[in-house]
Amino acid sequence: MSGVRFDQRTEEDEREPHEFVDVQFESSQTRATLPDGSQRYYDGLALKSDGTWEGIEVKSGNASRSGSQRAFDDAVGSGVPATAMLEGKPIQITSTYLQRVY
Amino acid sequence: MIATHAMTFNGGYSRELKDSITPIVEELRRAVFRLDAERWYATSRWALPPGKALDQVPYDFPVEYIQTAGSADRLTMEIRELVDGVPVQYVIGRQASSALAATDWASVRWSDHEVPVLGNEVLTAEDAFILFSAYHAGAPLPSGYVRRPR
Repeated sequence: MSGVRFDQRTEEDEREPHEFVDVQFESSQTRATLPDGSQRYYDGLALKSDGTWEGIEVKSGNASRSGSQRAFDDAVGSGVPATAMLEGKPIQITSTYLQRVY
Repeated sequence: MIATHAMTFNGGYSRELKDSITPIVEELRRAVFRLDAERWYATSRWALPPGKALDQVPYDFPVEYIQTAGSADRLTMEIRELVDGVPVQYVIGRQASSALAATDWASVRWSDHEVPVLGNEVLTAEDAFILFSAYHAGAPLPSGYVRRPR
């Protein structure tokens, strides 16, 4: 074990990505829209203390976000909220939370 | 908020470390106190490359990190650093005393792994939380702890 990470998986972990997530998670994909009309689907959402939401993006293996996803996230991160409907109610998404499963 | 660090759990799941949902200090606490050597057996904290997001770094990217494995009441901790460009892995222990021998060997188990450590290197989640917090703050090894190259 010398010189390696402890957390190398010792056996196949069959948990689904959302089982690792401690925050509220909507398993159905949610479509968000920016004021310019561009759209993006998140894998999940987490409620923030200020009442807005964080979009969760889960990537598998070596996958990375597409250029359009990254542009969308950059816009949200720069202070342009995205809007979406959650259980019939409008919400604001104000940040993105990246996660990765291997 | 742009994440500058990430945490990896069980080698199978990583996520950005940031305050937006859970304060980072609470995230660190939860990560180490829930270790049970089975369902949650290891976690590490590492820095993202400047300007890079989590999905832009390869799995084997981090060469410097702090990591722990085991269970909350019996775990081992290591810090990996680059020294003159060469990675060196250090095992962390408490300052040795008559009750905590630095010569007697012990072991820490998780999942199907077992690693040998010295008696003073069998730590708990409380130690892990102190060490993770200090490491995250960029502070030196807290007093009362020592390290040795593995």
